[in-house]
Amino acid sequence: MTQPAEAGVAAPSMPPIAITPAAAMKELSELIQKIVQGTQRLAEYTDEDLAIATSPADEIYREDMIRLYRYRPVGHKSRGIAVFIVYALVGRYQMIDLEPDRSFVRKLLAEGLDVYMVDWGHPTRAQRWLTIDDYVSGYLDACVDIIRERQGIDKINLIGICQGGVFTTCYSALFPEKVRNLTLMVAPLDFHGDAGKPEPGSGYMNLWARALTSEDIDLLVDTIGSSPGPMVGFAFLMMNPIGNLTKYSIDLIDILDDDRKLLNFLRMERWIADRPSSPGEVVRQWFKDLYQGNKLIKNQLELGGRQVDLHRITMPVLNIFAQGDVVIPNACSRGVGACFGTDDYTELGVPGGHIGTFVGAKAQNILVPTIVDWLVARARGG
Amino acid sequence: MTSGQELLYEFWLKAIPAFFGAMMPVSPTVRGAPSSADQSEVPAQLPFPVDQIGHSLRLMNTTLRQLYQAYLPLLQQDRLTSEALQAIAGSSSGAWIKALAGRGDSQAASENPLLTGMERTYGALADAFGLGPTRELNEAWREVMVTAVAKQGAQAEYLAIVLEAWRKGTASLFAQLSHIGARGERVDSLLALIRLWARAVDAAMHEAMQSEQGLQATARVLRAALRHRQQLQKAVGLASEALNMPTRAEVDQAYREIQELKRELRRLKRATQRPVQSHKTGETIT
Repeated sequence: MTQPAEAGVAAPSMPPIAITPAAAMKELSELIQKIVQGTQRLAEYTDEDLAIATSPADEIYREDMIRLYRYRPVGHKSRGIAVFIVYALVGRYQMIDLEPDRSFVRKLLAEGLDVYMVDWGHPTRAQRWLTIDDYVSGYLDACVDIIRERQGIDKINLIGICQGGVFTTCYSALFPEKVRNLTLMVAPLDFHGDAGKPEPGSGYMNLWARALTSEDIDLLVDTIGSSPGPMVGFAFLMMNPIGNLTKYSIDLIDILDDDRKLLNFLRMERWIADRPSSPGEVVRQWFKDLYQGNKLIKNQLELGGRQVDLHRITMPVLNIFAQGDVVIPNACSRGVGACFGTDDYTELGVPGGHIGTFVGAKAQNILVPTIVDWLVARARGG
Repeated sequence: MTSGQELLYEFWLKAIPAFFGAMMPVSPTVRGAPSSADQSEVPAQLPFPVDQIGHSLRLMNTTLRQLYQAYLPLLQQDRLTSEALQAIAGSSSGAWIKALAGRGDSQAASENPLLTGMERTYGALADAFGLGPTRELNEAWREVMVTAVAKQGAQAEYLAIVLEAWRKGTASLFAQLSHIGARGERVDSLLALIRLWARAVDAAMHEAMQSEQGLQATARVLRAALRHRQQLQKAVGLASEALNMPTRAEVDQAYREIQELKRELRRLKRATQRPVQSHKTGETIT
């Protein structure tokens, strides 16, 4: 757009369009040139170029489709603090280690932390009956016990991300004797925090879920069983349909001549496309008890017949939210300190969106140093 | 790469030409139907998602050529006026409405009076000869068709909201252009105009989809699609039973029992093996 403000160029009642045929053809020619060169560039990329989650890690436990990994330390720095990262079921853990220079995991390792992570794997149809309690009191508890035993400690430091934040919150309430510190990242806690105050383009999952009836959720789970990964992925993409159309078209052209940006884009696409299925009974409870009933924050959630009472979370809590998060609106993540039993509650807002928290440079500069400082101050042998 | 993921890309790749085609000042036959790829062809068997993104670029190559060529006559004759832009937006709306048509045909098929009449007349007789399952299956397929029509109706309702958002977005584009003109600025690039249009439609789309009407329409589409699937499963279940094959419900029940046994096993293990022993497998991921 130009601002020549020449008299008589465009009358206010007319569209201020001053595109000459020659300029349009020149622009088209340049775009085609970019596309051709970009296509050639694409063809040169190998599988290795596009690899994600490349930080070396060793599998130390497996049960059904889940795997517990311990990342290999980098460098000689060691703080003697172990953290256990619990990611969401709806995406793969690779997001926390997307690229070497945009890796949350590598930054934690570089700070001398001992990092464990659970890969929830790809549940199949056989796992459709798994409940949230199976994940929390089953798999998660088994992993925690393994880490406690390996590290020779009673309590561990949990880092729960998004849906994993809900799982670790539930775990900390049910097994407070095993948790030293709880760090939550972009985690939905008050599922109705955004009710009545929707922001444009934000919180679609909450809105969609609340627009459904309880019978709709039953129909969904009874009919589909486990929610297939591509279906879940499609729902995420439909939160921003026009944005996705331009992402794969005119916005894509903008990055074709930038090798780094193009690789970032392709690696992110790899992650986006690799959505696991969500077990049916988890979906049923997630939608009915959380999205619709908002039972977690009300201390009404029951797992395996036990009440999840947030007052039992007496360990220190660090709650990190993304200021530009449109997947989990800020109102669903922040301002929940009074709901926990702890008197050591810290809240931190980082710049960027839901995923940008883990791959954005601005967020990364704040995130890892804050977590490390916070943990070091509360280490006490953890 | 699973077939589901491929379908996911397929959706967006199909939508790209339709979306930009709707901004094209040419006959509807050109819209959304870019021809095959050209010199920007990407060889097959490339690492995921290079193939998909390469496909997207090929589509853009064709779509942009068509888009610019379609605007060129208007630019040459200095006729890219408000009226011309309104006409482009209007004719694209017309094409979308056309796409929504055809609902009546499917409805007619599902309510085939001949099938209904046959069933009423000869149904009991068929039962008497032991053909009950066949009748049940026929009935199930009829239900499948009824739910298919209901699904189509819900989708049409949803698309009508999308269409209205498109109209509002386009109106918003004109308002923005008017402000740009009033500030004495000019749009001197076709790509910039397309970007403005996309941004305006994006904002309108969010407004529509977050509205109560949009949310209810979304819920109705999901509900209708699920009921359709439920009926399909019922029909397949009847066929499976007739062929003495395990049904979906039976397999699910078996999985449920296995899961309950696993839970019980875990409880027993916990009770007898505290603290939990480490199961080191020594496998490595890199």
